[in-house]
Amino acid sequence: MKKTTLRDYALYVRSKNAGPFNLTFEIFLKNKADYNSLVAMNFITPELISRLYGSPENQVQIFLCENIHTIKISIPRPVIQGSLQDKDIHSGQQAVLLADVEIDI
Amino acid sequence: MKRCKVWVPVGALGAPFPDESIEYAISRKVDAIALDAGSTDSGPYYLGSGTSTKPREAIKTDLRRLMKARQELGVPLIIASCGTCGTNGMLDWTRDICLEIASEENLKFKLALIYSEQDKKYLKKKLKAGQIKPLQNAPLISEEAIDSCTHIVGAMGTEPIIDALENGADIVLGGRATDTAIIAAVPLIKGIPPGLSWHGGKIGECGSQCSLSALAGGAILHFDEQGFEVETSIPEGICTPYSVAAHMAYENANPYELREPAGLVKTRNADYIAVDNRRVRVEGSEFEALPITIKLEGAGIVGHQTIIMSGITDPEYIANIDEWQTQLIDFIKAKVATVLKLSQEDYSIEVRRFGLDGVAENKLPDEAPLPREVLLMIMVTAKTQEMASTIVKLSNAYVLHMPLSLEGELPSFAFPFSPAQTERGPVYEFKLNHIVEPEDYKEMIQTVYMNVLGEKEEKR
Repeated sequence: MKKTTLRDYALYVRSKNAGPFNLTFEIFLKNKADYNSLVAMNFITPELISRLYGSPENQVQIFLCENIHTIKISIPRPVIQGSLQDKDIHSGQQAVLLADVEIDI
Repeated sequence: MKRCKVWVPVGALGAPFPDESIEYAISRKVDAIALDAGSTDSGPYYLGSGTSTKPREAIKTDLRRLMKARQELGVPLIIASCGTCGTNGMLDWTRDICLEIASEENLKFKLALIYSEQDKKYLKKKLKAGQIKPLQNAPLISEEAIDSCTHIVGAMGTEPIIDALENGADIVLGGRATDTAIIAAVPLIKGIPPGLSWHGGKIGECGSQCSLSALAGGAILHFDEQGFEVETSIPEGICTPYSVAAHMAYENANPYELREPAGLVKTRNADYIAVDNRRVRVEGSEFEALPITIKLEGAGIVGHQTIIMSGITDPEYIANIDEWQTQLIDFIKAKVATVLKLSQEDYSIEVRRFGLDGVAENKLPDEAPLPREVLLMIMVTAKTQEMASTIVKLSNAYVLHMPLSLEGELPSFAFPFSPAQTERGPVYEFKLNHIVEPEDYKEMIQTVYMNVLGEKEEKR
């Protein structure tokens, strides 16, 4: 087992607005085998997302998209898009925190 | 076998798409040209102020190309969410551009204008009747919240677009619509099953975003009764089952279900199959019809903003920035209270520290090296522009000279501009994330027709 970040393990980790009130992430894996390993580890959990982004665990939605070997996560946007507190109108940089997480693989 | 081909030239009107894609779409004899011209993704300013992200020149250039392609093909051109936000004002702005082009190019056609800005009295009536429901993570709604919006639009579905086309419209310009509805309308008219029509709409809504060839601009969807095929609108562009399926996740909370005004689009059981090395066939999409709901988007002014920026590179200040910043803001607030007699309810101060945590909540580990430079941006929002600017001008000396210790020489930080402050004008927030349950869409959406006569004066 060696430590690596999700950024290195995945093909691409992306964040986007899903409308002004929701934030969505995709972890695109390189292939089916990597996807299956990550899913089997049960590493992407509501607890992890809640710790990183502060959303209540019961509001974290996780979708396992096997056909595109991708894990998708949606949460309420921590602040409404474009409100005075919003630092990232398009949410494009919010995935970096998730991509930086270390995994044992 | 019922068939229908829809060309989506580009993800949004005004974004670039190559000339060769027009020739290709014409050679494919498409049955309709459909695309959106708006989104909320640029934030609340555009809806709040009723303006477009894209300049008039970009809209006119590309609308001209599409109107000429439409004329050559003799098929409908459908564009909705006009002018980014889809307000009545921006629909009229787009109509005027369209009429100018018609006159310059001597184009004749029947034009439908579908207005979807909402009447506040109507919405308050629906609110009282319990026919406005919150979506996930919605702010609280009230009569005051409705009144606080400068503009409220309803996102139309396919119904008004279909009615306009059945009334003989050649060009349909619409206010706010769901991206998918703009594309799904013609396949639905042609008898394509709704699951496929809507799913194709979602796959095509960003043009070539569903392909590996983002610069292709557009996509062509070939619908039949069992499925649809998707290709890019340049011959060398490539769609793969992966690129097409992945688009279901794009800017969408749920990758398998999409709530549209007329019901729920379900794609969990859809298959994505390579037809050849550049085309993909999709089958198995489902649709559950539900009573019509129309989603509201509303934005209103929260204040007027003035900002001031300052660069810091002194390592002592960067190392102690939290303490220093607290001291700075306390001094500013005390000064505002003494000189302007304002309380903290009258204004707000937001601070961004670019280089440290101005973009995301980066929790740097303790051993991480300090950044070489930090850009401090202070944003003051108040009831009037004058008040916001006065507060910033009062803060100027503190932002420039605030010391860590009150003894010794005062530091001076790096202002990038003179004057140091910048007025940002009114700032807006999204205030609604709700759906309305109308008896009939016509309560919320109104259509006007014009016979456009080209060089001669147009008649309504």
